[in-house]
Amino acid sequence: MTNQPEAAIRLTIPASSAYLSLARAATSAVCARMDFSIEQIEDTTLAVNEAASLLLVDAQPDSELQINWQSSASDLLVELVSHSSSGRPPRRTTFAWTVLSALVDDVDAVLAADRIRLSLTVHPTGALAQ
Amino acid sequence: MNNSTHWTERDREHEHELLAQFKGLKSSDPEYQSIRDELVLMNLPLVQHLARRFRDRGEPYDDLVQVGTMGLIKAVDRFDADRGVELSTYATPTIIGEIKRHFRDRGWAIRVPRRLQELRIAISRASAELSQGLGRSPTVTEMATHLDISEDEVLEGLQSAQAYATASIDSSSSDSESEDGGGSLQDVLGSLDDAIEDIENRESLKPLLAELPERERAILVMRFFQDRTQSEIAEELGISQMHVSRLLARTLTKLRAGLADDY
Repeated sequence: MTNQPEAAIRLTIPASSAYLSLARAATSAVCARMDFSIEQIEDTTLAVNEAASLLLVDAQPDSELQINWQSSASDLLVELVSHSSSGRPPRRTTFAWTVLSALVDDVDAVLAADRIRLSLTVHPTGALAQ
Repeated sequence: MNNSTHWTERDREHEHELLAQFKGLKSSDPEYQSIRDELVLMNLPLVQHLARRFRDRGEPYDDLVQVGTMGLIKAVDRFDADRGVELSTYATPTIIGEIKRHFRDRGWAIRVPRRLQELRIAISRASAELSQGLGRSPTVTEMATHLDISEDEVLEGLQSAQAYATASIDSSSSDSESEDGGGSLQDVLGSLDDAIEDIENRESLKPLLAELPERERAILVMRFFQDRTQSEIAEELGISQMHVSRLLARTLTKLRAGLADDY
């Protein structure tokens, strides 16, 4: 797979779990382009699926979920942006947050206006990184 | 099928004698096990025949024979000669039932396109082989080269495996029924309470974890609380990394459905 370290992909989907397969498919494809190992592709895809599911819990009805993948030579940043009902970011002491923390190298969530921006950072450990 | 295609009248009479003997035995009787074994062995060709009918649907033939044999054993145990049917007639639906249940438990609706199932299996196998040689999980490029297929096809196979993992939450996940409760599994599970001590919503998590099959619970603890990689867990449990991945996805989906206060 041609390695393309610098790439930006954006996807906007209805805030519904019915569309999460799109987010998973895009994540796999982006990770593969970055020469991630199969294992890391699956961990990252699982993380995106979990992060999106987490945001959907608190998403406003009929809103949208935006997902951005930004790859660089050193890492992959996935940002998930949702319209929050509660107006607060997810707590960091829940099971969901523990899962995310184990699956990716860094996870963060901030509130900006009425939007939650949840970001996942992954450093590739595949062939290139070795 | 009926065993009559392979059986002589003598075989049939022998089976009738064995069944008559078996009927009067308790499981504690010394002959119980040997007669039961003989009955099962005699009817193994029936299991093999039935398993062959499901051969190209994405699960290894040997596994199908194994689960089918479980069905045969159940049938032998429950069989009542007074009903006037042959054991093979009585056992056939039980064996097929076990095989179908296996497919359900593995999450394959039998309607999943065969090409994708084959792709998924080829990828899982290649991943295991390459991991051995490389000492790490392979990349998509390496898999594509190894399998002589395109990178997009590798991705397609991976994605179908993911879709199938997340779609299969309604299964009873009894593919871990036959697991051994090995010492390491017990150690991991023993540390569960400590592991989730810092989780704020642990009280709603606990009953959900308790409902999980042992192996899935252990995988969850190892991956999310002990910082073990999928490959390490796979090696410890003697299953493939992709199987670990699938079980994790399925477990998370199951937990999410029941977990309150997780935001």
